[in-house]
Amino acid sequence: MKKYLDLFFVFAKVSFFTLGGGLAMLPLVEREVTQKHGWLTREEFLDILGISQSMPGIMILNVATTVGYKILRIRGAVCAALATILAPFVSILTIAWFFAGIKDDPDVIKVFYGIRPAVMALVLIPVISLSRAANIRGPAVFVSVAVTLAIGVLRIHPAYVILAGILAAVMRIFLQRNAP
Amino acid sequence: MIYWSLALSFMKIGLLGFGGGYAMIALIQREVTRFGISGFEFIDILALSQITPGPIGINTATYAGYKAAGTLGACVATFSNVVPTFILMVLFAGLYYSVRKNNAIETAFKSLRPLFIGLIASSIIVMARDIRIWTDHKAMIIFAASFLLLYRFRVDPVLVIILAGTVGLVIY
Repeated sequence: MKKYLDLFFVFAKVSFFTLGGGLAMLPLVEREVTQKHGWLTREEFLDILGISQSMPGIMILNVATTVGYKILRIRGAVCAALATILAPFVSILTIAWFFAGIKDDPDVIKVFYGIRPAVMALVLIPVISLSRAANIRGPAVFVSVAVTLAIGVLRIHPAYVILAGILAAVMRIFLQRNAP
Repeated sequence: MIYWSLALSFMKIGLLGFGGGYAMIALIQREVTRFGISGFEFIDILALSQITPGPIGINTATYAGYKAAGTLGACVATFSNVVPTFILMVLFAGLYYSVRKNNAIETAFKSLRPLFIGLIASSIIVMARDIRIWTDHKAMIIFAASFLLLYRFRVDPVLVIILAGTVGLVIY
């Protein structure tokens, strides 16, 4: 029982105290899981991270699920996943209740006029950092631009673009395997 | 029924949301239009999810679900977003040692990176259209200034949002 509580507490804590998304939480999770509690080795944690990043969905939740599963099987997975969801769910719901009452206030409207362009800038940052990290050049630039235009300008549903991308990636693997 | 369509939409987002929270934005942005959430509101949700704890995916699901169908809607959207991937992860958790040495997945993922970048960039284009940024010089200035603060001076995003909100209150 204590182990369930520990597991729940670790992920609830990490989720509650980190602002700005899953990537910010990773170092904290790693420290808790590999050093403080010693549930997994660093190597095991990196494996989990690898698989969590190549699966769809919320990365940190995938990490929580797999860590929980590795330690305490299915119940551990449920426990860690629920702990990760708890803080964002409760805080957003509280804000939503509160916000519904004030969103028509003229001052609040002005505040959000200021915030919206800042959000655009915020989302632009990962575009640049990912392009650099992945060393995007040549045909890859074409893919990025084509995807941007297809969804942003032609208004094609992102789901189709993602499915097409996965299909292309799978085909590429097959072609590489069968190449002489 | 609203709960059913919320569930379907967020399962779709969960299962197709590859490439991290930012890449998922484009998908959520498009899906939430089904529930009467305007482009403006979506950006506001994103802003709120940046200044509250937790991953963007959960924050936006909870908020959009609430907007569409109240507290129960928030529960339905959040759980639908999470459950399909949870099942996948549990299935994979038993298998992942055999997957780990398989670099086909890694190759596939690497070749998808330009796609993820395009997805994120597309969501910025959609936001620019929604707020008609080219008709609003003040917004353009806030955009440029925020970018400079974030990129050049590495100012904390939460601080930038608070700052931009304050500027908005003063100049609009």
